[in-house]
Amino acid sequence: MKSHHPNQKNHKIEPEQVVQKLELPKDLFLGMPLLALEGNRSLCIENHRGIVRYTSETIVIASRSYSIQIMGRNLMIPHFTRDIVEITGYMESISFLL
Amino acid sequence: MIERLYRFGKGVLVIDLRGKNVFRLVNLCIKKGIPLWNMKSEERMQCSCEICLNDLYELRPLLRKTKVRLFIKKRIGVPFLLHRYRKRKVFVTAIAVMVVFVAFLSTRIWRIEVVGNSSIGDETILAYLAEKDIGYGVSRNSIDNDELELSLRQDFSPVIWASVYEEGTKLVVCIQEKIASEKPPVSGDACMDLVASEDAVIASVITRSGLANIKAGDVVKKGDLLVCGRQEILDDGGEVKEYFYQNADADVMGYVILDYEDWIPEQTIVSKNTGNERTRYFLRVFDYQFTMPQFYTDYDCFEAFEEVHQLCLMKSFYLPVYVGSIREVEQEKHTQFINKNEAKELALLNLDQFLADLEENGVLIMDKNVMIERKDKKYHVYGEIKVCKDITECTPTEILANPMPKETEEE
Repeated sequence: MKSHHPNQKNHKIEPEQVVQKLELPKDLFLGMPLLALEGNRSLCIENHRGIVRYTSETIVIASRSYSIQIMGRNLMIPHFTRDIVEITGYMESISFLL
Repeated sequence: MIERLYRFGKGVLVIDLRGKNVFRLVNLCIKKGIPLWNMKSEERMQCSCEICLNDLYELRPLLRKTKVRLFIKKRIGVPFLLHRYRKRKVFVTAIAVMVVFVAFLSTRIWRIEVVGNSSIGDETILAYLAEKDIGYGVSRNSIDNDELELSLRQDFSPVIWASVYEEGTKLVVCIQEKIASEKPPVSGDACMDLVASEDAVIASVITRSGLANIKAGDVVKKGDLLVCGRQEILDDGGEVKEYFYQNADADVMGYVILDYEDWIPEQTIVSKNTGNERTRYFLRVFDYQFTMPQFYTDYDCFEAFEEVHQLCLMKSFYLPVYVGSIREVEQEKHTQFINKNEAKELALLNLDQFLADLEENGVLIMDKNVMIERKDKKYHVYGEIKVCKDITECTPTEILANPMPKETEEE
């Protein structure tokens, strides 16, 4: 069984730390979703991975590391492309499902 | 907007997707680059959206793969309109030709408006534009506004500012004229005298510069010197040393007798409306006019009034189409004899108009003495009107050589 020496340091570097140190854009290098809100009426999500669930009250959009759940009323998707998904309606909450 | 028009041209389908894997299908579509928009979900495992007509065929294998059923709810766009109106080809073609024709007309000028002119008439400006090949039907792009503004300022001396711009199919020529001065401008260093423009008795003199030769009450004839621009500078001995020249400036008012004459014929032809009138409508396209056919006989004597309206789409999209009406009012003419009293009334009216015109030009009416007498089947109105008016006129001053200085006795 392998055992680490107590003085041996862990050299594994988290990519998030590197991006943070180098001040690089996280959406490009880590694939983090970009959310642009206009009040509670319109939401634009970039870097998405598709729709997981969609009803007029709930929309779940997949992203690289988690899903974004939007709850509200009369939710619609007027624009949906490979890069951007635009959601309109009366949004009540936005939560991130890890 | 452009995207919507493009999609309308290509054809759009409103589809209803039903099945367990609806959203898997949606994600696959996006991955394959099939655009979907206006997505709505009203029920569970159901989704409605819009898709381009061409993309529908690419959707077929994905539908089979995900076992989703597709229903077409609505068809929008040009391909469906063409299919619907395939039996009305002429109608659709006529509409298409009309659209192209209106688009062509929108690139031309169909109305010219002149704004701000007072001494230069509209007709003069339009004739000037026609000389420069700018008229009705000329292409909007062929008009160089800056060059036209410059040439208007150069070719018309009263124009001090000009602006030319297009509003839809209307060309607006906006000009501003300078206010003309009553007296002619003094050219260069030339010195001017004021002389009498007509025979008069001087009423008042207000001299601002120059040497007045007259005083109130003097009688002057046309051409007499009123105010001299030349002044003598005398030396200690009282002799002229040199001459000093300046522009004479004064208000010289004089009493002038104007002759008045008017002839009123004893018999006149008077037109009177009979009360009958009729209206005909017409349509004018370019230079071709289609008038409503006439179902009645012509009036023997009539007066015609034409009213024209240019067709305008929206605010300033004028078209070369004119709609109008011609109103013909029947008249009967008869000879009317007038007696002396009626002639007097008419003469008085004409005289009042004459006096009003004089007063409008700044002339003060002092006295009038007008008589009327019958002569050769006509009434002769004649007399004299005494007025008070400005009688000055500019003429160049006679330049005299300065007298030679006298040699002193000692020399």
